[in-house]
Amino acid sequence: MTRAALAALLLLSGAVQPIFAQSSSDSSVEILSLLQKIAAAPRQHNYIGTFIYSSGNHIETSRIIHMRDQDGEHEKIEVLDGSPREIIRNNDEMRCYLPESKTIVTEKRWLRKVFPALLPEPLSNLHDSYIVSKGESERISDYECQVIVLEPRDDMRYGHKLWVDAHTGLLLKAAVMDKGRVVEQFVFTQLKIGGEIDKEMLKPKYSAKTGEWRITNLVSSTMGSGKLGWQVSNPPAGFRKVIEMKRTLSGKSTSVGHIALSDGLAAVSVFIEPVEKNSAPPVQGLSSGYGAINIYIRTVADNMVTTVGEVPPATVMQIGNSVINYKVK
Amino acid sequence: MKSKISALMDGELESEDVAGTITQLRKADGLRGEWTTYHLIGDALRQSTASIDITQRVSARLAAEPTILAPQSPMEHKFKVFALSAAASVAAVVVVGWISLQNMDRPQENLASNKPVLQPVVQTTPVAISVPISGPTSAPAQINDYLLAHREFSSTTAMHGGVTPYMRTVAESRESSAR
Repeated sequence: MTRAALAALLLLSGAVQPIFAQSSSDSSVEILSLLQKIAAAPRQHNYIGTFIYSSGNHIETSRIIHMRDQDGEHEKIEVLDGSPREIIRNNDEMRCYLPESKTIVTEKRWLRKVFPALLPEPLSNLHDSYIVSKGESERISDYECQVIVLEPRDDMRYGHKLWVDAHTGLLLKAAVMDKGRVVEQFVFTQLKIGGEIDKEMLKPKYSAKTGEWRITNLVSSTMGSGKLGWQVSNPPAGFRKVIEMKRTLSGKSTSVGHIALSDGLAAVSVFIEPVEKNSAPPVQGLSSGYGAINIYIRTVADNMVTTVGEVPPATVMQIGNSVINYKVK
Repeated sequence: MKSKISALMDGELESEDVAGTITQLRKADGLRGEWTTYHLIGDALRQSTASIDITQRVSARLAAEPTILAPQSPMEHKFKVFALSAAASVAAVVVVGWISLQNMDRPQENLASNKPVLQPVVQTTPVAISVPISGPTSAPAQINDYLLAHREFSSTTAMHGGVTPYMRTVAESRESSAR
């Protein structure tokens, strides 16, 4: 098993372990094994399909070709609606082709390599914040799927519904729910699992013209973790700090403070960055429209504090509003 | 007439209209087709398992019906948020969230001259305060970076697990790119 795969399993089992630990009932064990199956499935199966992502009024269709071999996973995703985008992934290396602006955006993940060591403790207790249960069987794209429901115990996080192909463990549909309302979801509308895939199919459409394209590298890196002098004094119940660090982001000379919190499933990041003297003051407030992600910006002691997470508006606001600077000024 | 047939079927037609409607149904072939179609729709809605004899006429009628797809939503936002979730991979451990790829490299003046970049979205939560994040601060670029950095911690996507790396990208709406 590759290192990447191990890390994935580690993370996943980190997230679901509490289920196992707290209750050894049959259904918990069954759900745990289903979740593990979800994580492992893409490394075990080839597939070709079309899926739809929807959020609010926005619907977008994409085609995916996914192949696994002895080198790992290879994948091509073509966005079929709106401005064309093509994403080629080889394990943890991504290249995104944007033909309209003749740009290739590349990214190689760094976190995975250090993930187990980086996390001070397994992600917090999933059971404290969610009721995890097995739902009915439902048919998605002609595959019989098992539904897994993660129902939030309060209003500070969204619910999740997962449709898992009973045979392969591939996730064929996923929805983020705010009570009865679907915040965002993706679903396969057509899918073929298994069978041989010609490597040619995974090649980018645009590679021949790469010479004339601009390449933007999105790599960001940590500068080492430590005390930032900032803390989230009053996070909603269930949210715990996962890590804090300083990091550089693309195109920035100064480093940015980053505190990550998690409730075992949903994550919230707080970014702290000094307001540049000559620039206009940051516009404060809440902004939505990124699917399940909400963003809340406020200024604290000449720093811009940006809170980002796949959580309801009230949650990013509570976290953002409780960020305090405990350095002596 | 269609509405009358529908109402008749649902037993909701005013009594004085019933006789006339039935008479017309008897006379006109087209209307009988309507009647059959409505019953077919009704059966489908009730998921009736009764075998339905789909006559040629009805099938032809159904085929002629326009297919109604999801309505095009008006392009309200200067920057559209696209999210792409892919059934994928281990890489999903880390959430995928490339945002505003299209706009990252645009000159700052260009961004600054834009109207509010992120329009406030209608909030369903009453506590929410919608404030547009606008122009001069080049908010999109910053937020891109933040979202990129954030998704590495998003266990939500880890959960979706090796499975649904979400790609959230902000791309310009067609109007603005046509500018």
